[in-house]
Amino acid sequence: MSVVEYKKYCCVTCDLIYDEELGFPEEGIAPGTLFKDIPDDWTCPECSASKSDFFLVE
Amino acid sequence: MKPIVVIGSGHAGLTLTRELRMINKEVPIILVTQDDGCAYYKPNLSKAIALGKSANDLMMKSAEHIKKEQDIFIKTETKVLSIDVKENFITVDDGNSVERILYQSLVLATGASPIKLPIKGNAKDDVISVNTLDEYREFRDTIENKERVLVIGAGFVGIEFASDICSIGYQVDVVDMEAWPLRRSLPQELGEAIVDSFPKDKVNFHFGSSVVAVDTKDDGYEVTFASGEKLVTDVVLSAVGIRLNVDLAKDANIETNRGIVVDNCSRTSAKHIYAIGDCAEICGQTLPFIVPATAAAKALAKTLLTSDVTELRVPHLAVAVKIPTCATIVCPSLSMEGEWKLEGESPDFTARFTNAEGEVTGFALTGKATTQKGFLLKECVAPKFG
Repeated sequence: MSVVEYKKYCCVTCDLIYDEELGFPEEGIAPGTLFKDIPDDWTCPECSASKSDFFLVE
Repeated sequence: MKPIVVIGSGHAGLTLTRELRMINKEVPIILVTQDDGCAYYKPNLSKAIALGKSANDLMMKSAEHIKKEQDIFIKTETKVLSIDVKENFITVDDGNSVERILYQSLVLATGASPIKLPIKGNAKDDVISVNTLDEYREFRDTIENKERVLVIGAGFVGIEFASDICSIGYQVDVVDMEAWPLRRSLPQELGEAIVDSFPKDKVNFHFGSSVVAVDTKDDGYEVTFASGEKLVTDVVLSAVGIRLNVDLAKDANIETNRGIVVDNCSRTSAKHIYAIGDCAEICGQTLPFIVPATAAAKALAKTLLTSDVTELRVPHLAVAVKIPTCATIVCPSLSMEGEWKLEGESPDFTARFTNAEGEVTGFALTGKATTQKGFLLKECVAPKFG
């Protein structure tokens, strides 16, 4: 079994961080959900920016 | 090539310049702003204290950073004096010199300013509002080593500030002319659930009242209400709503009403001039929220740089009101025609704003009901423009 390297993504509008390791359980996104597996119509829970407005935090 | 000129570096202006640059790498873009041009998320200003965030923490990007990242010109600390709608130029003053900037398209993203109440008293000029990052910085300095804060207004901003300040130990008084908080966005039962969630020993609400005078008293201020009742506090914060910044447009004889009048493609009455964000009145509606500003900026970027004139489609906006003691989500109805239909028990309410045809045009949720946001958004009829 390979170890998953979780990444973080940041909302360009409000600075909210999506951490793959933590997910967003209260939004129905389980811990460990990779950003690419989140539905495309998902929006930022803080400011409603679209999924494409998130950028990878290096 | 004449540049696209954008006035205002708030969320609408900066989203537009970013979207323009994503579509076209060549077009010259000039952003003119009267402040320092840094990017921050304005809704954070009324909820950052409990998070322990300073003004510097809230700054997301400096103007220098944005200049490089987007490859645009930014003129900071620069006031726009006038627009010449016939010759297509604006006149600006950066404090050192006055110059003209020609434009191929001009976008007004001038935002809104806090309403100043006509308050009397020798300390009326000490009443503060927090609508910019600089004002947040000053506010943090002002409340340092103080104990009591009076918040005027229990709308989105006022109630969030009250919640934020009381959470770090301040004694807070909240005064509002209405009978409950967020009066225009939710029914009484939800308003009362919010009030009941605040710690009784820390927060006093004064509904159906208003402030008529603020005078200095000992180390603080004596505040006089319309009822004649008096109260002593250390800081007076006003959050009674906003006035849209339309003067620049109005002086150029561009049609204005409450906002700068635009159609559903953000076009004003003047050729090559557009308005987006809080300052715009779209087909009779003003929507001073993040989501419609983002949608307008994205649509306008396409209109300006592609052959498609892109109509604005605003998704429903569910605004989370940051009151940690009582989770609250509001989806404001664009139409005022209708009535509230309530379900649930305090503090877990679902309220649907329903029109004569039985359509849900807005809603408000408190407590555990906030988990139903996704379902309610699907129930709502989409807002229409034009």
